[in-house]
Amino acid sequence: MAGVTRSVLIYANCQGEELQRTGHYMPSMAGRVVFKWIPLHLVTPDDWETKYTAEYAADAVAVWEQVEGGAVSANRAAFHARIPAGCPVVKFPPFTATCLWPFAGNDPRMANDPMRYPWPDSIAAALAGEDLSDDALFDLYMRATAERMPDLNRRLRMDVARWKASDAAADVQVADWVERTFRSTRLFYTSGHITAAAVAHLMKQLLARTAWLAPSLARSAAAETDVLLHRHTGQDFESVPIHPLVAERLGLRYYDPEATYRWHGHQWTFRQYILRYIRWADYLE
Amino acid sequence: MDAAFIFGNLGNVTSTTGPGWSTEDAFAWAIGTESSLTLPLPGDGRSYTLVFDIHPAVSRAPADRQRLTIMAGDTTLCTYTLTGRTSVTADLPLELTRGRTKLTLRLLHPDARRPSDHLPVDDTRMLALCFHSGSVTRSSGGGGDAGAEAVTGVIAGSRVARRIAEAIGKLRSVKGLLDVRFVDVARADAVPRGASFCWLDTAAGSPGERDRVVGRLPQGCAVATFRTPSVQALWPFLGPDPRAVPEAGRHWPARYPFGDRIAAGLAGMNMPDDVVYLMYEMAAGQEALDLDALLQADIQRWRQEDGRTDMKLAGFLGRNIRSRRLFASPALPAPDLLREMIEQILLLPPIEALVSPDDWTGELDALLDGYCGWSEELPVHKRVAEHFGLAWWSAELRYRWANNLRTYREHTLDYVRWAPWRE
Repeated sequence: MAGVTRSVLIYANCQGEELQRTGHYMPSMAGRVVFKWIPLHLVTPDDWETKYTAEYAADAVAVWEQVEGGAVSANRAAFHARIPAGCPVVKFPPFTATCLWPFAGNDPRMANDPMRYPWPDSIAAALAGEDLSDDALFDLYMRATAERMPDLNRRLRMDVARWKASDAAADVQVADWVERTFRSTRLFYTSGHITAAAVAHLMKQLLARTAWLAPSLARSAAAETDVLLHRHTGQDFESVPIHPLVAERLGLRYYDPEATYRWHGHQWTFRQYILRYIRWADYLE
Repeated sequence: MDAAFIFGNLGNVTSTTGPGWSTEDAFAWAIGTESSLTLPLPGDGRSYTLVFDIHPAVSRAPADRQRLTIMAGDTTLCTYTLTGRTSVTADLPLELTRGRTKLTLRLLHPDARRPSDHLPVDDTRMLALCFHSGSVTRSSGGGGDAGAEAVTGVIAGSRVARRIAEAIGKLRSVKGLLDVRFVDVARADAVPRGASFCWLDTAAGSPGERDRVVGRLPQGCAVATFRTPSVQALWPFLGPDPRAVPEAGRHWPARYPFGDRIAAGLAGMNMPDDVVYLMYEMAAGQEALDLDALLQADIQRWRQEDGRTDMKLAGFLGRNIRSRRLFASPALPAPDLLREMIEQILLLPPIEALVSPDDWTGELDALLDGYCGWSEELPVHKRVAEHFGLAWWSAELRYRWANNLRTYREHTLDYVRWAPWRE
């Protein structure tokens, strides 16, 4: 490993970390190339001077760059300035899904305690002051959410439009695959955290489009991707349960109303999660 | 928090539908120069603090800002100048809240502007401030615990001690009375100066490291000991595997750190999964094993450890080893055993004098509800499960290892093949 001076440089949100880790564990890549990740959502101006310097990027033989909407940010410009001349760049879209959690919104408790439940639910937040039994509180939540359930097909159309817009700015496309797959296979744990199935799909596409990799090596790496992610759960450390009515209206075939979802050190059902969220209950890591 | 206000069509603030407001799904814009807002109050005799999460309609120009004054009748509650998203706080004095079930506020925002004046959009609304959420919370002051100093205690050990300290520290009835801190036995310098008691895990670290922790405790600090138990009877096939070597930067101490001597014997078999699994099962079934003797040896060891420490676990382990899942892997307590250890710490001096089980039992139930513990679960062999009649075991049970989930069969096949996996 010490002698490796080539890297695949990834500029992406936390989904990039999944790509980096998968690449890191690939037997076929050991000794050939290392995978580096610059977290676009965390990088600070100082980081460009201290951690992600020109030297850090100098050994890149391929760049995997996640696209974003809007104008080029200062961070992205700093990243572009560090890409070695002539290094091929493969652009890929982020995975996002808002239609699966239609009540994502605001919660005043996040101002003081932003990390306890960082995926706010507006309807649950509005019930925070209620002093009711578990059954009564959950019933109230279910009634309120049923009454206020937005048009999920419209939300899905908006998501699809976003996926296609990201695809249009990228070299790798995922919109059609996500639209085709998300009902039969779980792809999202939160609006931005993905399952191993989504990681594998993206990884294999990127490998296939990385010119530095000989086709036979890219094929080996793609096969290893399947092995490495076969039992892997993806980014499930914070898994926000899906509302049963959302599953029904969007036709999620994989949905199991009794399923438990990982939340740090816990596995909770939808009901358990919602009650804990409303009460802002503590939990263990 | 006594009440939460969520703005927008999906929220619970109903008074933002009139003049001065433009409501969207997840928020409400205060528009024009003045808006009115009516909020529910508890109607009791307390004073409250009001907080809003707001962002102003500002362009990217550095000096751009929005001013906001919040009034209740003729009383000015607060005045802010906002340049970015922020929390706006106003104290509601008793004369505004006593016996009232609602409060009407006047929001003055003289700097509203049209987005179309500075952005390439056709939004001509006069936007001032975007309200996301708000809350009212009982004002603090004069609480019964004011001035009482929490007793500082230490749970010293390794990861089990850390989890015990984390759980105790999250019990509401303990907060304010006890300040329980985890100390890694390898970091004796982290022992807090004011510790008045210490629970030390004698299974953690080396004797020298534990001595250094004890040596750093202040004079008069009460020291009690426990020993995180281990078990052998549940994993009788553990053994060395020549493939188990560190893989630099990937797996330490090995790709599969718990060796399986039966599976290791099948390494290199180039057969279909069903055949390999059948061979493994046959070999494991023919292995000469006295599982009862192994369990007796475990029980004997637990009793001996009970005699040397202040926590008594042998009885609990012996009674429950068949009916409850007590271990995640040979030396890692599963949640039921962890709970027993937490309870014993809470029920023994000096904590038992500070907090009552009546207070913390329900809290501990809630905290551990759905808790699954560690990402280091080692599958238990079918033969072991059947012999002991392990009530919790099933062939479909999936075990978590790092971020991977495997059934007993999947684990066995992956192990035999030494399959690569990633964290």
